[in-house]
Amino acid sequence: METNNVAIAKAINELGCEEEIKKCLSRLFIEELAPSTSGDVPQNFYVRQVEAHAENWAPSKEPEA
Amino acid sequence: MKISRIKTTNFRQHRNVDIDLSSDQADFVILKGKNGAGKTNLLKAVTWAIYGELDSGDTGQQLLTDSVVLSMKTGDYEDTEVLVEIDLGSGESAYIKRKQAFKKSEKGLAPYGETELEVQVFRDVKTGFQVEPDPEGWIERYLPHRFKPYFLFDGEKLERFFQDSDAPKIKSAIQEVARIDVLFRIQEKLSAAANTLNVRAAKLTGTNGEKFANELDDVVDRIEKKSKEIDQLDKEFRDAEEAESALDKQLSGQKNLEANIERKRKIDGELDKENRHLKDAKDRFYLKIRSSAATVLLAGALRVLGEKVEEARKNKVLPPPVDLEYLKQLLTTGTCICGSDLKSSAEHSMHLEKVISDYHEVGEIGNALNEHALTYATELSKLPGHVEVIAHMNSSIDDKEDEIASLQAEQQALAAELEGQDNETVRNLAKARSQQREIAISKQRALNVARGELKQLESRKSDVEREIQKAASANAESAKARQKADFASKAAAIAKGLYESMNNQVREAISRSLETRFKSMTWKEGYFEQVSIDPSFRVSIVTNQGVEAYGRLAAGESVCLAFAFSLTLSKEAGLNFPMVVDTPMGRLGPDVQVNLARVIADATRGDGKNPNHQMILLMTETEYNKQVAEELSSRRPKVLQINFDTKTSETTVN
Repeated sequence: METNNVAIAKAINELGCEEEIKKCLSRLFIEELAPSTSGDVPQNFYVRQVEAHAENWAPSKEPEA
Repeated sequence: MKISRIKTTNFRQHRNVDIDLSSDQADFVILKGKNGAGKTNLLKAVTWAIYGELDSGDTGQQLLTDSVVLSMKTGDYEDTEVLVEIDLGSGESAYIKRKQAFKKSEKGLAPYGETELEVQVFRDVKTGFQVEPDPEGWIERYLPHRFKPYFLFDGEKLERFFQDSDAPKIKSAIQEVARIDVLFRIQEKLSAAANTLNVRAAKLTGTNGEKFANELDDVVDRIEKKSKEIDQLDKEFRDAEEAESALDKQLSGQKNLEANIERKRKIDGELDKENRHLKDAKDRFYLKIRSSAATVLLAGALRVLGEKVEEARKNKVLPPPVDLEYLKQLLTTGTCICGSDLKSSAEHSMHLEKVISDYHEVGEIGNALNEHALTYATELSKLPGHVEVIAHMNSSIDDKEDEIASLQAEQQALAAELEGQDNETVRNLAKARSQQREIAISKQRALNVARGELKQLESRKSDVEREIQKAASANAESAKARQKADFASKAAAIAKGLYESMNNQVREAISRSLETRFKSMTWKEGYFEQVSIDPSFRVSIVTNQGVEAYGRLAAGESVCLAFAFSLTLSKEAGLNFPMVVDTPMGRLGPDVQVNLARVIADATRGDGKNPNHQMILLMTETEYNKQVAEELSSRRPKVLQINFDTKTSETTVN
């Protein structure tokens, strides 16, 4: 199980997209795996995370892979 | 992770069992015992302790040990309790204890109160064992219920795993075990976040804001409903296809019946034809007998007459059958029939004259007799011909009768075989299959229509989003919300791409590993050419003849496939749950048992990076035979014997 979690985390980290999106996905992934949530992360957590990361997001300025 | 102790109190025949599996040797455990010794109930005890459930078909009504129940008086209470201790590695451990009280009343024995679950975790010496406030949650985190089928299972039921498993089950098994389901969830929730933020942006646009927001809400809602409808239709379509395929299998099982019915019908026809031919042959035979009857009946008399004529000739009472006029002519010409000169041979001349004189003496009677004798001889000469024809006809009748007797015997045997079955069964199956096909076609059509509608809704959603974007450009706050929505949409699209890519990687890795394991287990070396899980998560097994064998595997092969799948999931997905398998080789032949033992031993062996994968096998003595024990010896297993005491109806493990 850990092997796959690590593999997914690594794959997110190696994504060729904007850093802010990677950061957001990593945060959401960690939250989904957290024992406290048992894979049941509330929808408003997602909205909050998106809002927080979108603040620092400049889509046109960062090159995409 | 490994099970380091199993302790049962009053759990069925395991009244007081305490199995210590804490040693290093306990990485590989064989619990062997005779049928009925309590192996399956030991697996059930572990399953019950962790999940509070047994398995389908076992209602768990009688958990308490029989001897305990018998010793209870009305009003008495007794507990069933199972404790499973788990070594979590790095010095940490935990125990799971489940308890159920029972009370005996006038009405009988019944559970008393709720099942109690307790989990205590040992993290270090300083804090010692600590009670987990949420034991169910702890179990779900460390031993998720969804993985249960892959580490706690009954080998005898493995065969059904792949018989019953359809593509969605295999897909969810792989995704859940490999944790890709998390990525799918992330992309779904990000899409929902994008919708929320888009609605917010719409509301901030001004006058048309509410209208846009409502429209977007509505279209998102409809997309969600349509997606659910598609999922349902897709399931119904697959179910219909599966039902059709099951009917196909049943029909192919009825092929013998169909062939027998056809054969019987053919035999019935042949018998009719042969009976007609026999009647014709007999008619011809009797006709021939009648036409030859005079000859046949007179044959004896004619033979006697012939003998009399010969005798009369010998006695010279009857002249030889010669022409009298010719003899007279001989006398006139003076030459005998032998060629000698009658004139010069008085003796010959006298002899001839005597014959002529005798002829005259015998007169007309002799003449007539001679004539009749010739006729009778001719008639007699025909007799062997008649006899031969009649004998031939007779033998042909015999042959026909033999053939008819053999056909009748086959007809009777088939009738006996078909007793209770008729082509009604086959007709009904074919009808059901055809109905199922129609259902599948109608579901597929509905699915296509729904997919088309979903596309239209998605296109409508894009239009509404564009309109919101246009309106939002005039309002700074709305534009900001729109940008956040864009961020969420983009992140969702990236998560989806990653999910799809990892999905393929994991599927392909599992597919390759499944192929290697399955091939190494079966005795048919080189027969199974390719084992794969296609992008739709359908398992395919192709033989070296290019024939699809999945769905037609022998019972033992199905077990091998399921075992290979479980081992593959555990290994490839990096699971390190202990595996407890009851009767792993019960349905397998000796060769396959040995192959499976070798594969299990190898698949659970650790390497430099990973520790050994604990395997607890509950085996009959037949399963744990000399060859299997030899294959497993490389893992230096801890072998324990489960004994059942018939006097106390309780087990001991030592």
